Amino acid sequence: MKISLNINNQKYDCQIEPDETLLNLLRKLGFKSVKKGCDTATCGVCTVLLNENPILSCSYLAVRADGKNITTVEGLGKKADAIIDAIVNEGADQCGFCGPALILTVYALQKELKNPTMEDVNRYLAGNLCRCSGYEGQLRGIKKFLGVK
Amino acid sequence: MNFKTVKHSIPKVDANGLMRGLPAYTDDLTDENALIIKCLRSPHAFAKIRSINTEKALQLNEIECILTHKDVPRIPITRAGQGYPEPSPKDYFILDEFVRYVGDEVAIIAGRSEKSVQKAIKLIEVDFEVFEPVLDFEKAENHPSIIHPEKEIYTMFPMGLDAQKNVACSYTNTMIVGDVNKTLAECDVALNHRYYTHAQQHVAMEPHSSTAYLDYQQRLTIISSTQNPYHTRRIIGEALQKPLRDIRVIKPRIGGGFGGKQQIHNDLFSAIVTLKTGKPSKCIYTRKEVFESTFTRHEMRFDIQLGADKNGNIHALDIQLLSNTGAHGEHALTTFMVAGSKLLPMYNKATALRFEGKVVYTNRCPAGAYRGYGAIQANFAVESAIDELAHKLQMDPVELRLKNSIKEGETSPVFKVMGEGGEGIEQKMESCKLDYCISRGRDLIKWKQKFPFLKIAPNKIRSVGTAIAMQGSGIPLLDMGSAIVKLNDDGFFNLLVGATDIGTGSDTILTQIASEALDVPIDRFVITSSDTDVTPFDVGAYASSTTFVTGNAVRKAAENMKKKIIQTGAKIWQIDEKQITFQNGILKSKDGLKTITLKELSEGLYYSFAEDMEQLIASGSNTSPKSPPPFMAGFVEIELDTETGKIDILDYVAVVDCGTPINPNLAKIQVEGGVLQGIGMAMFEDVKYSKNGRMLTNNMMNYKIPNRCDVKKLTVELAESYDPAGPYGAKSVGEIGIDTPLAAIANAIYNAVGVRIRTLPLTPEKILNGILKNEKR
Amino acid sequence: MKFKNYAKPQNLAEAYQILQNEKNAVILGGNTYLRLNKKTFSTAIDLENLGLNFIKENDENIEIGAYTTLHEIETNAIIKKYFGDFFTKSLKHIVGIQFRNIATIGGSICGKYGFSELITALSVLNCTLVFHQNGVIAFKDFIENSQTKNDILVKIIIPKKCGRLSYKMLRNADSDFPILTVAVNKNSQLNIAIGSCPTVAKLISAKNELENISEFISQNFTFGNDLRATASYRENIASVLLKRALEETL
Ligand SMILES: Cc1cc2nc3c(=O)[nH]c(=O)nc-3n(C[C@H](O)[C@H](O)[C@H](O)COP(=O)(O)OP(=O)(O)OC[C@H]3O[C@@H](n4cnc5c(N)ncnc54)[C@H](O)[C@@H]3O)c2cc1C
Repeated sequence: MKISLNINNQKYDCQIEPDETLLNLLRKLGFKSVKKGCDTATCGVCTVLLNENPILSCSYLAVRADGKNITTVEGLGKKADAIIDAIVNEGADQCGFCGPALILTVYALQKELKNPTMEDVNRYLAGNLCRCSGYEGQLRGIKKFLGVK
Repeated sequence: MNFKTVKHSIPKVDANGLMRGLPAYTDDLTDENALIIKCLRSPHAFAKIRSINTEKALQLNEIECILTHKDVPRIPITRAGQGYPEPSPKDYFILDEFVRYVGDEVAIIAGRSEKSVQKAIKLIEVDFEVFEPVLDFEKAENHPSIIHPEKEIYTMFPMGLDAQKNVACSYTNTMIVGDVNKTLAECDVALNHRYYTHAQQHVAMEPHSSTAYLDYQQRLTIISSTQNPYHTRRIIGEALQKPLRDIRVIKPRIGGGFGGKQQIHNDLFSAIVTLKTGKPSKCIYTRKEVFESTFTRHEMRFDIQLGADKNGNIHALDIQLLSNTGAHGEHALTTFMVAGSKLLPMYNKATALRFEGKVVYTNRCPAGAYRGYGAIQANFAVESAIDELAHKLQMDPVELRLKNSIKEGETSPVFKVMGEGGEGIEQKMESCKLDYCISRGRDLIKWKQKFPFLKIAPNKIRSVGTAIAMQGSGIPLLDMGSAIVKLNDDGFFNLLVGATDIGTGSDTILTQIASEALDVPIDRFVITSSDTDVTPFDVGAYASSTTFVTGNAVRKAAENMKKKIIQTGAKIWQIDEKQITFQNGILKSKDGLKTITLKELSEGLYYSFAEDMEQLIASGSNTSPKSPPPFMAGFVEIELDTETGKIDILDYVAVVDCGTPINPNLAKIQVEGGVLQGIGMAMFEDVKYSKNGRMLTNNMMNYKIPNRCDVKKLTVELAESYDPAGPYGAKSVGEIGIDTPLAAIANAIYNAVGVRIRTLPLTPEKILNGILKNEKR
Repeated sequence: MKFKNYAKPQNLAEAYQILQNEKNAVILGGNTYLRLNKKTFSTAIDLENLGLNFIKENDENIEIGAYTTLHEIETNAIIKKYFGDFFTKSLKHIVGIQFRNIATIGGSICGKYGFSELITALSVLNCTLVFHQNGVIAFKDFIENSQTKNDILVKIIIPKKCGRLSYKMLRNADSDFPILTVAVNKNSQLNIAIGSCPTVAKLISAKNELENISEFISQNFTFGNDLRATASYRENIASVLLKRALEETL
């Protein structure tokens, strides 16, 4: 099948299989920031933004992205700087495999939640699993970044 | 001590690229046309392949190669990435006529598309002769089913392998200090309990990944998510009967390891497919394969006898251990021994010590290396028993530990008697702040106000619990690491190390050490790690060795480079070396008359010094007769719902003595990550099987790792400590964090409601059952 | 999950036609659970263009389109206004935001999953379901009798009028499936639903105050064993959670 979608503000015309996932398509197109972690919609490392909302690209079909806007970390560019710094300054990036997905979700969180508490932040990010950091360091950074008391 | 770079929390050197998602991991780097490899896997826990027919599958268009046990070399190997000769039985064949667990490999299929490979898998016809599997490790020894009946398997030195009895190794009559039975009989208080620890899965976010190709010289190149590229190269060479010169292993960035990538899995398959077809190939495991067909933590059973006088002086400790290594014996002996060697020395006042037991085969997912490596299992058993003893003595468990634990300047006979796989080496604790860790942790958790519990609502109790731990820093005189420092024009350095950064930040801390030793700003270094063609030897990322072992190698290499730079100055200026200083990257004569920057020096060395032109390159290698243990005290505060048995972790305090933290942020996060993995194992991570041996928890939906709402707070502090053997006083920190949560939480549950759980995990159901049972009494 | 063809019909009739004409066709919700299915379907039918993504209010009822995502329900002002945090509580543990941004209420209901927390919650609200072919079906009937195979759920109608609500659950890990779920709606009568038994939520309506909670439970509900807990543990905590839920509705 043919679809055409916007990835990071660039138009892509792609030939896809009807049951292909968006994750598969994005990786094929070279967006390696989008990772495959679990195969059961559980781990969150495949997160991308669909019209600014975080979604699991492993469960979202590529064909459904036809005509839509997808953002990966590659597309955030400078908008990712402060979030990346916040996490990296705590050393909480660790193996980095879940990093890009976390950056995107924090970015979405900042847009969606007004004056969140740390509990709101934790809940919003709960779908971004990390096995290295124990989360605490990530949260130290994110707390500073968001200015949460 | 004041350092310029060391003991500073600089960001990881690879942070930016990783966070921006640039291609870095194995699956990001595969050839577009790489053949896709999948395995046909056994549906049976134990069976023999009577016949296998691949004809129909081979007829499919895009299928390039199908390998069965008849098509691969039959060489017994072990997949364990460990020192050589390996302390693990050589009981594995790339493919075998026997399948020994559900998920074991039956055939390797490679094709040009995933769809075709999946189709081919379905078309392979296998006739299995199915045997009764050995699923219960307590019934494995002398079970009528013999898991390894094959003649060829062997061990490289005696370790008690008795395959006819399903025994992978045994260890008796060796680790005995004093007369345990007699001392126990003389104790005022003694106890004898049995504890069970379950298997755990690593669940690194990146699944095991491997890709292979032949370069233009026909050399086999493997890019792999491995924790130990040199062991991988050696084992692949052994299994495929290839000289090591024809193999190159590259470790790119790794998405977490925790021991799970310390053995080889799919590398064997990508290597053999590429050799057979001449084409690039890749084998990226699905999460299900990671769960079912890599490794778990060893399940263990401990019988603990512990005795003390009425003043709380511990005199005797006896550990009888049964360990389950699953279908193969990878890391069977060494995890077993670490259960003793990284625990017994902690209670060094005891005069009678014994540690014995066996490791058995079962038809379950093989067990292997996992952070904590035996020590965590023993920690649950012994640190639970210590609390049980405290209760009997009516003593505060913290006081009991303070009284009996090892102190700075002390030693334990155990260090000499047992090491990892064989005898150990005597060691005195030149740094040990365990007593500080305990008392500091006690203050941080507010033990005195909270012990044993506070009732905060009719059905809510808050309580505290504790456990202490030690680990090692590499394996003495076995682990070896090395480094090369090379000066380039423009005055920057390459730092080449074989050490394997699996996400821990070892590339960063090694660069910090080089920068400190050479006195050159850190941005003047470019580190390259883990490429067997390019970087020098290193055993890899395991046994908490990199900071301590490789760190010292880097320090030596950098110091050697500094000498060479000063020698060069002496040569070009024609003055004595003693008249020259090298500081902050600038070479100066002490009289201040001559100055040259590294940039100028390197330009001269490579372009303009005529006869004096020379490549400056220095190396250093290191192994250590010591393995100074890091220590930790863990304290947990829980809230327990007495009507449901559910517990919440309110705070986990960890105070750690890891010597000098080379990078305090990274050290702290190693502990935080370890603690949370330990909490996961304590509370809900569990590997469960069906009656016929199929793994039920073979995905992340049914095997839960903690998310960020599972624990309310982690509080980690690093103790001020300095170990003279380590680079700038550093010891290890990679494993120690994981050890204490099992017992600390179990102890907190006991302190809350008087329920002692001796079989992990600590589920709400077990807690409630205990409460209901106590009520009946 | 695999499928051979993809269809994005422009109206319900067209979608229904495909479902009838093609053997082995499947409706796509958010594809979060469906994706775990090992089958190969003929055609996957995407409901995106059918206008089923809505939360509307009329005099009596709130109507939620089948294609509305769980996160939309969690954050919707109308829902909050009438049901407080009742829905949020039943949804917030489901995996993560990136999951709830695609999982739909239609898929959550039609899957009839035993662990479904949304089913437990909806069970007590006297709602009705509107299917394209079968028309209006009471929620309870739908859960208990599966007569709607090969039909399309269009919307869920929830009466605005409800009593005091409470939702309680117990799970071990924060994002694990629940071990047990309980919902209570206390109005003139008492609606009690217990789910994750581990079978799907069952609704019992009681007239009066409950005299003996554990008796009520053992008379009306049966529990089973699974990976997460045994039947007897479930039965034990069912009483506890129900007691707490009832206290909350006092
Ligand atoms: C890892 C994981 C963890 C989970 N944890 C929880 C949890 O803790 N609590 C909980 O309650 N749930 C949990 N769930 C279940 C989750 O809520 C469901 O996956 C989700 O609700 C399904 O919604 P969906 O829109 O993706 O449906 P799909 O997966 O797309 O579809 C589900 C089924 O419904 C059918 N269907 C969809 N829409 C319609 C329609 N309009 N008409 C007719 N049939 C339709 C589909 O054909 C399919 O058979 C979990 C799921 C996963 C994968």
